Amino acid sequence: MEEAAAKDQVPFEERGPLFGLPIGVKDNIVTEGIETTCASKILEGFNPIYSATVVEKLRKAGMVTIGKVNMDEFAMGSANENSAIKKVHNPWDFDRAPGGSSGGSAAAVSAGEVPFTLGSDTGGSIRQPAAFCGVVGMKPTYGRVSRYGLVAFASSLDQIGPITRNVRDNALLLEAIAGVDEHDSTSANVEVPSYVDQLTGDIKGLKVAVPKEYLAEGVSEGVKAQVLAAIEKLKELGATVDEVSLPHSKYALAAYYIISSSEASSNLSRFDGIRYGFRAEADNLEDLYLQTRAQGFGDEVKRRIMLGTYSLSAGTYDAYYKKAQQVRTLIKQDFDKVFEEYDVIVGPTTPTTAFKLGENLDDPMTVYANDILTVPINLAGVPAISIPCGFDNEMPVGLQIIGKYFEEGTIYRVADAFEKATDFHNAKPQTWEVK
Amino acid sequence: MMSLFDKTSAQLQEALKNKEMTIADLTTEAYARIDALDGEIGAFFSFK
Repeated sequence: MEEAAAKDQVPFEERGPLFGLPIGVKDNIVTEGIETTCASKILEGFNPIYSATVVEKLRKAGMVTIGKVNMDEFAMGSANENSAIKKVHNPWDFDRAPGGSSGGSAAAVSAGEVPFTLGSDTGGSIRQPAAFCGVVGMKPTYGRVSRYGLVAFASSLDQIGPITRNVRDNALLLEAIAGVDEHDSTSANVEVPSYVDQLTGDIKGLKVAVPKEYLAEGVSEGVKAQVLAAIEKLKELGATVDEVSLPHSKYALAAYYIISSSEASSNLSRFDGIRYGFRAEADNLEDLYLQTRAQGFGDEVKRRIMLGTYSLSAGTYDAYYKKAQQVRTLIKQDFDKVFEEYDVIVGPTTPTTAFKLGENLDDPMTVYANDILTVPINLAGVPAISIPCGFDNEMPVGLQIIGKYFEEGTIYRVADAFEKATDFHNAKPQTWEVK
Repeated sequence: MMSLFDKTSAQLQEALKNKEMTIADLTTEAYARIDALDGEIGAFFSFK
């Protein structure tokens, strides 16, 4: 509150478009002096000694960080049921999942607790919860936003991005956090344009591709109907739409879980009870490592560490990890080919709307399958957004718009034109009525 | 009564400029809504 009061004294001519506005930050983004847990017992009590580059950029923009938001442990999950601290509930139906892993980020914006949050997206962790909660979530191009201070899950896939209630605010927030960073060698030295200037509402002549694999078996009829209606709206707005193929999409889920788990098994080896957070009681050093990791990590994290360690082991490396990397190249080439002719690719963000909490707790494969339409984007490294495009059984449906590398502006232009022509982004769950 | 956050950032900045609200009001609103809702939503861990 002191920070807010001080900001009120700053003259208006010195303020930017986000100055003074409240924001929540996903708890895998480090904040100096504020506990950062990644929703894991193993980071209990961990107070970072520095802030992530994106947090510093929020500060420069004058935003007021309200607090840290819930997530799946180490960003591993699609329902926010893997948080070691507490579950998140979907504001549209408290019995349903908000999605994950940025479930807290999406639910907080959807419920009207804050107008802005930051999430992170490794295989759909911004877009899937945005779709489930009826808000706008952008996964920028890999390298567009610094990962310095983002606790690594899968370093070749992770990206930080904004979650908001409308496209314009999303574009403003991405402008504020994007850009090259000397602390992150994978951040790209590509100019950050004004995304807001590109929100013309005009998409006449824009070439839109719809992959047949994204509306195939497994996508619910309700989701398909809303997405097809959205595609019709894009045509009405002047875009030309063609069906295309991304033929290697069917291998994306398997490749993603091998690559991401392999990277996770390496990245999470640093949590050993010595340097960060939780430390178990033990008689000797080896036992300390074993007990800390056994007691500190949850089941899903352990599952992925084991899967990743197996994929990277000498006898299986070629059959799994190397093969998955080859598939990744093919998936990237699929996107490159389509983008030779088209400006954007559109389809559903998720195959279904939000599922019931607890519904898939004993069936991780079903939960993994929910990522089938989002993981190819991370494997290719291209940007994509999820925006609200309708409802199925009173639960929000997300439209995914995928763009060329570093052309987030084109994605925002399409999303904004659709938003201006529809009213889905103005729908609110009952939580908004709370006084 | 709907939240102050039922506005775009541009509308919020306009309201701040016209002194219809302050940044402290916006921050108070966020904390109040988190207090009122987060027991059921579970989105927030910690608060400044």
